[in-house]
Amino acid sequence: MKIFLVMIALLFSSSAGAFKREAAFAGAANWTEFRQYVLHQQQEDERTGIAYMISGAIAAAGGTIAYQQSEEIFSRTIFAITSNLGLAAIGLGATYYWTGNELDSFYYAIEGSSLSLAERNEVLQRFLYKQQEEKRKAKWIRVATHALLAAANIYGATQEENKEISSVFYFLGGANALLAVTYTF
Amino acid sequence: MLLRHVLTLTVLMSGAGVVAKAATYSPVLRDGGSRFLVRSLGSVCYSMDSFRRGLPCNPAFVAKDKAPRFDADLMLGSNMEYLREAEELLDGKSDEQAVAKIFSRREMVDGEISIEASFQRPTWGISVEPYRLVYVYQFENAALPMVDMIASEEQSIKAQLASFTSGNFYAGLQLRYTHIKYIGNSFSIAEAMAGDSDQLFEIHNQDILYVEPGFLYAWEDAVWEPQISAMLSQWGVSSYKSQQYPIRPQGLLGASIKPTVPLGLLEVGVQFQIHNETENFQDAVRAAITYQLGLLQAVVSGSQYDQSVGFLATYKSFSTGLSYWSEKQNKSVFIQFGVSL
Repeated sequence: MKIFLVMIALLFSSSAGAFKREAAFAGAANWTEFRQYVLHQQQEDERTGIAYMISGAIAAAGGTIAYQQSEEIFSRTIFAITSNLGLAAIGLGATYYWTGNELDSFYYAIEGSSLSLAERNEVLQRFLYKQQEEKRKAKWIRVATHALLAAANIYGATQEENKEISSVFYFLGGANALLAVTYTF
Repeated sequence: MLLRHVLTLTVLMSGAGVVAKAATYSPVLRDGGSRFLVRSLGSVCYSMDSFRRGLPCNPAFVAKDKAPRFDADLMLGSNMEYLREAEELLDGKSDEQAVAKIFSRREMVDGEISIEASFQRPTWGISVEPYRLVYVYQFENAALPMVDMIASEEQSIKAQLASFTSGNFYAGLQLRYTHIKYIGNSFSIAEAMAGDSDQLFEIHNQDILYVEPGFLYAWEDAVWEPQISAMLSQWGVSSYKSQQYPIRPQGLLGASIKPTVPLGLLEVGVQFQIHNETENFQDAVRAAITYQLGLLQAVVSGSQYDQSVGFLATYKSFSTGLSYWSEKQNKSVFIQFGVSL
């Protein structure tokens, strides 16, 4: 049990920072299509944000009340985690609702400018090219990071004499190895 | 419930003189579905879209759900303290004191733990369950105490392959290989204490390959997205014939809809589960409702014998859930920790 709580804490903390919603426009460099996509995404972000804030509030309040009412250790653990997830989800929902996704700033800057449609298409093409290039690089950086973490944890597991601690290392090593493999796709 | 029927039949047919008869897990424990939502929904999972973790119950859904995913789940049932006892029995490490403790128990035990990881791409998926431990101990008839128990350790691998024709009709096939190490018997405590307990706790090994086809027709453009499904499950070949893990095919026919709601996703499903022990229409029916909003997913399901209510909270890559399951004489709590990559 302790092992899995440690695992969840480690994994949870490792991804808590990435808040802004990812968005990728997969179409051609056409400003009219891009505008429709961004406006649709903004509506989706608002709906998702409201859904996360409502469900987060329910999870936070319900988890806290159920934690106090429950006596069984596993149930209490789940309710405590749910309560924490609920609070985190309220923040996530608020971020989605009020700050939208990573394309919004670019859209705002270009849409309010005096550029012609042809110029907007050209800027959009350069932006999408750069975005794809950065995503490709970020993917391989993730693969390398998780491969290193996997190697370090597995090595740590082979050197550790305490069986419980070595199990945690093996688990983290295995999870990171899987993450590294998954990010290559 | 089925287990109780089997136990009752065994007691009636055998009388007091029989020491060791075989016990059988209910189909829900033999269908390979040890994921939290699968257990919460019960057999209705064969017809519903509303789970985004693990491989779908019905392999035809692999072709419909086109989002690739990789996830790993740990599921824990209540009565965890008894699972060590089951593990020792299966490892042949139980001493006389431990056996005497088992014989003196006068309560129901229903414990389970499993770890499963699965990888799904459009039209195919694979799932590995390296460890699953289940322990069911049932006690009946205080005047002449009878025990029905099964402890089993399983390793499974599942592969699903699916395709579609004309856009709305999907067909899939699941191949499921399971290696089981188990102890399973129904016995009278009085005679067991007088006799040789080694015979009662004899360890068996069994390998089963299931071949399970599934079909789905979905009206995806309709407002409530209705769909109907059919599946033949638990059909396959076994390394040897046993009463504990029999090959008992069952047919599943189901339907589901997604009524439009202002916010979130609501899905309602119903399932007819038919096998050779189904006697009445109402025995075969199970219904379920799920509602997903933001990070929360609530699940309610029930048949005339048992009910289940639970929730799953999914935040980014992590999920945690809790589900209560109850029938007339027994109840359990299942919890889950999961990671999606």
